[in-house]
Amino acid sequence: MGKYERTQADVFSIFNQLAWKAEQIKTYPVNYISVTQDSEYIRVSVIPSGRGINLNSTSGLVLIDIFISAGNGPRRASLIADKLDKYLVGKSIVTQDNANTQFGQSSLVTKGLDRDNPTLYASTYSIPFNYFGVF
Amino acid sequence: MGYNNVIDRSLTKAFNLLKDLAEDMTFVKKSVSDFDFGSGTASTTAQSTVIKAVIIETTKATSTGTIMKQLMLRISDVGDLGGYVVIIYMCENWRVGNVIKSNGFISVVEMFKG
Repeated sequence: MGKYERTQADVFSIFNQLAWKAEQIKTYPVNYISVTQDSEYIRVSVIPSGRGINLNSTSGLVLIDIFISAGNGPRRASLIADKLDKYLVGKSIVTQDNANTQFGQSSLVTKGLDRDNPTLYASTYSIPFNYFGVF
Repeated sequence: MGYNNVIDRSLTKAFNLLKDLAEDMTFVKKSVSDFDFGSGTASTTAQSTVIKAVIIETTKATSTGTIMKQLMLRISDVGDLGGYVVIIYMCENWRVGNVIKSNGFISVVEMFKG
């Protein structure tokens, strides 16, 4: 498994945990079309666009778009962002081959009504990561 | 009889008059869907519907060779086009593209191959 696939698998593994599933927040990756019409969900993108410390390493951002029902204020988005913090901020994932993905500090930006679906209010949660691969 | 029924019956008649210009196409829809973050794959079950559609335009991108066809179809045949991912036409799989126009009775949809 290469560094990009490994990074993505590490991030996805967080959303495969029973604890996250128990949060009952619909979670989809980017480039996925849901057939259900959800009034609240998050969309996860892994962007390994930065440099790593060696050829097998990389760094970047996990961007998570948070969609909540429009018209009910921004609090729910903040609550979801806080839940994401619990699973991501400062966490480190070590894989069997001793590769390591470490997450830093998060930030949250509100974007307003979703352009494609104005019944949803969008915010973007982002958190930087470093992936340390091994030779 | 309401106007909706009148228009729908007229469209059925129009599609019948088109004879072989209206061709059978199989629209494949993701009927049940979830994303498995463990395997990184979407789990879907497919549901297919055969409908009549008319090809109104075909273009081919010179740089990539991708073929795009625009189809005209009756909305009552397919309902919401949102979940459709593949169209099987002449035994070949085409990807469903954008809905170009939709007026409540007729939709014009793009499909791509290559």
